[in-house]
Amino acid sequence: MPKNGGRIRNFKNEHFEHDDRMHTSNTRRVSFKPGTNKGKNKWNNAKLILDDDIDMTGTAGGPHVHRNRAFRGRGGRLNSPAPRSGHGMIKKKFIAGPLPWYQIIIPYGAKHDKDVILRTLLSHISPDIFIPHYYKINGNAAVFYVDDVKLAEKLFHADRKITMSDGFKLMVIVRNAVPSVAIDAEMKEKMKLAMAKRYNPTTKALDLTKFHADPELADIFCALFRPVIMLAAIDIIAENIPDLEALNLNDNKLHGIEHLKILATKLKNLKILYMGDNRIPYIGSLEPLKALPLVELYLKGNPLLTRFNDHEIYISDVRKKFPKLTKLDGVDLPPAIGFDVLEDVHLPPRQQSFLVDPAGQDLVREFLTQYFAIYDAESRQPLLEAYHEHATMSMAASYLTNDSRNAATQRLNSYITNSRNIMRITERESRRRYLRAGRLQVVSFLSDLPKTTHDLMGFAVDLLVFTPAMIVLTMNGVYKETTTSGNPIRSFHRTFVIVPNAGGGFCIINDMLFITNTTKEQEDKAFATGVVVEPTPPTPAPTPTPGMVAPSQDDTQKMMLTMLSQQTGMNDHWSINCLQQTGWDFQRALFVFNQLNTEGKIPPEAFVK
Amino acid sequence: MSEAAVKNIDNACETAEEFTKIFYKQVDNNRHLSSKLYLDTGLLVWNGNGINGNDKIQKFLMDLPASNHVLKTLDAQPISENLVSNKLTYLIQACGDVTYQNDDTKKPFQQTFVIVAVDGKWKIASDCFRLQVPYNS
Repeated sequence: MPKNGGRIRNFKNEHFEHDDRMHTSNTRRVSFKPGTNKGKNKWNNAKLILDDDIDMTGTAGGPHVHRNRAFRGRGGRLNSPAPRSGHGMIKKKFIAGPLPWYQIIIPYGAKHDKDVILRTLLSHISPDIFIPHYYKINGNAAVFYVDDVKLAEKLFHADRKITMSDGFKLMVIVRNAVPSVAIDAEMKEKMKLAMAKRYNPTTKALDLTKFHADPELADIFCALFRPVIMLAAIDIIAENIPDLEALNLNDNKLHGIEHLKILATKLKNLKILYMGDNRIPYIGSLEPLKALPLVELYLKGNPLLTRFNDHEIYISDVRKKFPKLTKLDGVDLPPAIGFDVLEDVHLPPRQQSFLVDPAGQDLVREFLTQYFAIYDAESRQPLLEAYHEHATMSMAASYLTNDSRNAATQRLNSYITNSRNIMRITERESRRRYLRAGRLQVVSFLSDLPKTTHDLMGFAVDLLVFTPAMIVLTMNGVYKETTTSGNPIRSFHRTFVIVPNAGGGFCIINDMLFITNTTKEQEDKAFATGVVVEPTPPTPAPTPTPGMVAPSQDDTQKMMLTMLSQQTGMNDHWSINCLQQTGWDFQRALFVFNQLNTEGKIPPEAFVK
Repeated sequence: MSEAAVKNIDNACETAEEFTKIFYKQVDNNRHLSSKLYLDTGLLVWNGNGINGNDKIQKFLMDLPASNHVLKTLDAQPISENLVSNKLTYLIQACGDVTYQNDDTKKPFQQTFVIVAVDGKWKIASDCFRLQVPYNS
C-alpha cells in the first residue's frame, strides 16, 4: 500500500488485508456520488466497514449497484447498498457515474440468444431505444455497453422485472465503466481509415465528431475521451496531416483535456478547434490549449458555460486565454481593444567583435595571441612580464541557472572557492583579500588555476578604450581544462586594462575574470574551427611588442628558435618575438627578418646574446 | 598598499553594489531615463554592436525588448587614477540572467562597466554587454 496512507488507511487495511480489491483509491471505492464526497468520507468509510460486500472491483467509481452477491444466488436480499438496516426492502436508486459509458451485465445471459436478450430489454424500455455496444459473452454472463446515462438508468430499473422463458427473472447489472481497449497496429490502421474519410484536404479540416460511433470503428471501443486513444489519434494526425488547420472534436464526451497540451507542439498550424457538446467542466480546463494560436473556438454544450451567469465575462475569460480569437461558439467577436506595445521585438544581431578604433586591431590580436600562448602553456610563470608591477586581478565564478546537467565535470569547485563575488563576499577584509594585488600575487594566483587551452578562434573581443595611455578590452569565449579529468569546457568573460610599459611594450594593470559552465550551444560549437591558427599575421614591427618572453616551447618550436637564432644572429628573445609574430612559420619569420634587416629596422640590441 | 588604496578597493565594491542596483532598475523599469547614467561621450557595446554617445545609446536601448535582469555575481576593482586624468574610475563586472519580453527563457549575460566620477556623479564611460552564446563564426 502507499506509504501515505496514514493511520486511517492502515486501520482499514487490518480489516481488509485479505481483500486484493483494496487497490482502488479511497475516493473511488466509496464514490457513489462522484465529486460530492468531500467531507462525507467518514460516513462512507463507516458504511464500507459495516457492509463489505460492496463491489469494489470496478475500474471507476459510480453506481456499482449490484454486487458480487448478485451472482451468488437468485432471490434473497439483493441490491442493498445500505447498512444492514433491518427489515424491509430498500428501494434501489440509480446514481449517474462520472464516465459517459455504462457496462450492462446480464448474469446467465449466455443461456439466451443475443437477439432474445436485446429484444426483451428493448421491448421493456420501449419506446426508448438503446444501442448495445460490444456485446459479448463473458463466462455465463452477457456483457455490453451503452453510452447514454438515461438508458443506463432504464436498464438499471429493468433488473428482475422481466421473466424469461425459462421462468427465471432476468437480472441486469449496471456499472459505470468504459470498455477496455488496447491500442495496437490494427486499431491504429482502423482509426487512420476512419480519419481519412473525415478529412477535407481543401480546408485542411478534420472532423472527428462523435468518433466512437464511426461505422469503421463499430467493433472496437475507440472513444476520444480516453487519453490513450486521443493521443494515438493526435499521433496519426501529426504523422499524416501535420499542417492541419481545423479540428472538430464535437460530441466526444471529452472531460479532462490536460493531455491535449501536446496539440500545440504536434499541430503548430491548428487555428480552428471545435469542442462543442463535450463535458469540459471549467474554463481553467482550457489551460493546456493556451499555446495554440486559435482564431476560432467552439465550446457550446460544455458544463463550463453554465458556470458563467454573464456571457460577456465568459467571452472575455476565453479571450484572455486565446487573445487571437476572432470567433467563439460560431459568433464573430468584436475586435479586442489592445495596447500599442511593441509586440515581436527582436534582439539586434550580435557581432563577433567591436573595435572602438580599428588601429587597435593588430595590437589586440598580437597581445592576446601571446598572452594565451603563455597562459595555455605548461607554466604560467612567464606571465609575470605581462602584468604591471601594481596590477590587480580578481575572479568571480557561478553556475548556470537551471542547469540540469549534473556530471562531475560541471563542478566549478576550483573556481568557486576563490570567487570574489561581492554579492556573497560582503566583509571588507575578505573583499580586499580576494583581490590579488601586485604582479607576483596575480601570477601565482593564475598559476594555481586549472591548466587550459583557449578557443582563440571563438573569442568575441570588444575593444572599448584605445588611447595611448590605456587600452580596455573585453573577451568572451570558451576554454578547455587540459589536465582535469573529462577535459571540461568552461565559458569565460574577461576584461584587461592594458597600459604601456617602460620597455615600449604593454602590460596588464587590471584583470577581471568571470567563469561559468558552458551552455549546451557553446559546448556544441566549442573549438569548431579546429586548430588555433593565427590568421595572416600582420607584418611584425618588433619594437611595440608586449614585454613578454616566450612560453615554454615544444620541441619543434625549440628547433625553430635555434635555427632562426643561428641563421640571423639575433638573440633568443628577438628570435622568439619574430617567430611568434609570424605564427611560428619559420620561412616567413626568416623572410620578415631579412626584409626588416635590409631596411635597417632591427636594433643592435637584438643581436646581443 | 597604502591606506588610501585599500579604502579605494572598499569603495569600488560599495559603489558597484549601488551602481548596479540603480542601473538594472533603470534598464528594466525606466529605460527612457537610463541614458542619463552614461557620459555624453559614453560607449555601449551591446553584443558586439558599438553605440557611441548618450543620445544614440538612449535610442538603442529603447528599441530593445523589455527586459528583466537578475544578477548572480558582481565584482569591482579600482582603475589607477593616473590613467584617466585623475578621475576616480572603477571597473565593474556584473553577471547573471536576463529575460526578454515574449521569451521566458533565462539567458546568461555578462556585462562590464568602466564608471568615472564626474562632478560628483558616477557616469558610465564604457559598457560592454554580452550574452553567453557561442561566438565561433
